Amino acid sequence: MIYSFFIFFGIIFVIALVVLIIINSRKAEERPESISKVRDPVKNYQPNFIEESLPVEAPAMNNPRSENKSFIASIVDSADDAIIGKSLDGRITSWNRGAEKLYGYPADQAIGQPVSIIFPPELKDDLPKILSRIKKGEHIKHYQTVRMDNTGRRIAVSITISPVTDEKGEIIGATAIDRDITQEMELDRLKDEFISLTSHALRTPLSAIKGLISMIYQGDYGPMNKNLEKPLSNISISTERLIQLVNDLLNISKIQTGKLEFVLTVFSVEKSISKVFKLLEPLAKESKIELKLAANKLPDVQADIEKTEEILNNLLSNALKFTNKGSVEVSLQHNNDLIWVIVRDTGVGIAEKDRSKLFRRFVQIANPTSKHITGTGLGLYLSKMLAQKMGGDVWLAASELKKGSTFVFSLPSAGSKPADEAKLNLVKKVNNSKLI
Amino acid sequence: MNKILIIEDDQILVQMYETKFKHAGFEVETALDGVTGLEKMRTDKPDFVLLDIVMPKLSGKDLFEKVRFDPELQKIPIAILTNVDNPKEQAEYLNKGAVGYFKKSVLTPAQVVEEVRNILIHG
Repeated sequence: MIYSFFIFFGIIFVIALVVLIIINSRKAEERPESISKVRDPVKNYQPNFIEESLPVEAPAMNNPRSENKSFIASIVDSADDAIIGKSLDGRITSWNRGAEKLYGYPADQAIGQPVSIIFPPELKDDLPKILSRIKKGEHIKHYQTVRMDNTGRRIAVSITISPVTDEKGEIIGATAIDRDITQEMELDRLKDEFISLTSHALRTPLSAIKGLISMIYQGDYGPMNKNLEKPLSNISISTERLIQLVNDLLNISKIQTGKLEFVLTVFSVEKSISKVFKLLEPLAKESKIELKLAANKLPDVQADIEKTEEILNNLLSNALKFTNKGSVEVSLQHNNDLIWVIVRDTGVGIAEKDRSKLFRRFVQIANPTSKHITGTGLGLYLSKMLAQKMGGDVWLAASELKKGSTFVFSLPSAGSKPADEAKLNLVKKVNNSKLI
Repeated sequence: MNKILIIEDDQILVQMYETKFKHAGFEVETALDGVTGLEKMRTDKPDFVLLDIVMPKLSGKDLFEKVRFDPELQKIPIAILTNVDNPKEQAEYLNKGAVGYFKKSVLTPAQVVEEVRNILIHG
């Protein structure tokens, strides 16, 4: 009886033991696995970014904050960008692998050093400025500057700096994320160079064709043969179109990269209109369309004179192209801040369905007039962009099929507050008389 | 008779402007690069210089800078004749004393002659 009692309890004990061992071994299997997901990167993580720059708590398996920190640590470590922690006196407190790669110093060499080791000598004055902004709690975003690696090589970087606070909210340091932008800068430079070289290379032969045709016309190479007038005129028109296309493409590319420059001067828009009238007279005469300017005493405008004339030329040549008979009339109005140039034609008008497309790139509205003169599909798009950059606008005010259209071009008057100068890539206000 | 020196590396353009200026009654000298241009400015003493920017050997930009500080040559009026469309550069040249900035693809040779004449008459 006693034996059977012992045997019974013995069996239960053994079973319990086996169960315990199994459970334990399972736990043992589970634990390292769950840790390895989070902990391993930390184990390999030498720079101690989190530990150095954030208040440290004793690591505990079930502490979500600790796991969170480990997670952040793994992100910091695997980031391509250099992520650098520094104290308020400018010493490096953490240095990730990205920083090792970018600046060449291993973490154990960099940590504890003044952060000025990566500042080129000519930019050393930047550091106190940055530190004083950090002390005020300011963030610095995408600051483009130059840093230096351990061999003295200059590196173009974009830097974002944020203050780091302790638990009480006091600023104890900063983290900087430095991104190497050497390649982007080089690509930008190459693109600019390519565009400027191409446009120069295209314009040189075009100006020779344009100039030589004008001289044949003017009799510089002997009397003009009447039979040649028409083909020469067509060559001339085609050349102007090519020149315009080169200019438009160049301007669009400059607008897209924010590199279009404006030279603001004070001038009379009426004079500009007369100048453009003169340019378009041959086209108007040929089409037997009257170009009229309803003169009006107007204040001067403040804008870029060349771009203003380009817009006027676009609007007026469009009006001429789309008008079979009648007139193209320009009238002017103004208030204290703006001057409106109103271009009214008696042309074919614009169908309702086409109106919303007018100012889009490369959109050409079918021209039912017999003239077959096509443009680049960029004129109105560019005109609107340019006008807006100068603080004005271009829009379609009215249109009726077979009756005509009215476009309006507004510009800031000289007395008004200048156009949002920050938006303009302003060069300098140069003396009007010096501009050709 | 006014003497004009055209410093321009494109042969076709040089011939074109030369013809137009001669027909307009100018005496014309030409140079196909900046170095020759600078020499001719010294030896030929032109009344006016038309200067291209993008050129081999010595660019128009470098020539302009050299001439600016030369007590003898700085008196000769220089107008830029270019296909570089850069308002910033244009403003810079005008501020530094260039008497004109002509764009080859905008003006016809007749218009360039007109501009030069105006500058020579009115200063």
